[in-house]
Amino acid sequence: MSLQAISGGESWLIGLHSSQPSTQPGFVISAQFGAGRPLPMPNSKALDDLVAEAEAMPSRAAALRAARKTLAEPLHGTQAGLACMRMKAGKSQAQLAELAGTSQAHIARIEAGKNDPGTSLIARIARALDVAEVEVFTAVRSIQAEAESA
Amino acid sequence: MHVDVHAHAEADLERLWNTDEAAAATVTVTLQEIQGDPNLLDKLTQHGDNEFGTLRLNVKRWTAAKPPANVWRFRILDTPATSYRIVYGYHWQTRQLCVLAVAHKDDFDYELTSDLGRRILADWASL
Repeated sequence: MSLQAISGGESWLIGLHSSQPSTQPGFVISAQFGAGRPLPMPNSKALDDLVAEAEAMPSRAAALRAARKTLAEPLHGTQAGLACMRMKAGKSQAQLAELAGTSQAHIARIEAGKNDPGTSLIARIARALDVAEVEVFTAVRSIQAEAESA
Repeated sequence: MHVDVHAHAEADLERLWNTDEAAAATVTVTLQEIQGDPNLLDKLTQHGDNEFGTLRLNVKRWTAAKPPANVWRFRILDTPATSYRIVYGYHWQTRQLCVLAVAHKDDFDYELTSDLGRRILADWASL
């Protein structure tokens, strides 16, 4: 029996099932599935697309970075959370996700204390934000503790 | 939860980028952060002065709208964007928030008969 992934009208063979045990080396495949973003409402544009257009213009990108730095503490309080750290670096969730090699949704869940990033992702986030890994680790643990006690 | 921007509001925001970049950036970043945090979003459908950290957002439902519409506005207090009203509707079924207008407070005072008031309600009704 074959296992196929189907997307956009294309399909890929991603695995085979056999009743016989195999001694052949194999792969461990992980994937993240989500509901995806609904289509924008009629005559509307997704905010993310609008932000991407602004980020493509140097002066607007600079204004967005400055606004994030200014709003980091007012918006996310004095908590030593990842969201505050990210905004102080002038980055959006989407930008951090791209630099760290994950999805915006994953970053959102980590910031909310709902996902536990492994050490490799913590290291990638730290590199993307140009901070020490221990700072990211502490920020993540702090928000997780807050979420658990809520 | 996702934030959409109606074409008319996009034009409002574009005008703001051209006249007051700091205000436009503040509005954009605030909307983006709200989209990424369900706790922040929840407060956008609660009438009153709502605190997001130490940032204060003044949230009001447009109660004069007839027929009653799930249309709200917020102002981001104590920032370069304080003078602007961000008007939005929230679609409960799809959990989408649609920004309908970004207007200077001197240009929009919730008059149902104003050009902007009529535009907002017509746009929301068409969604």
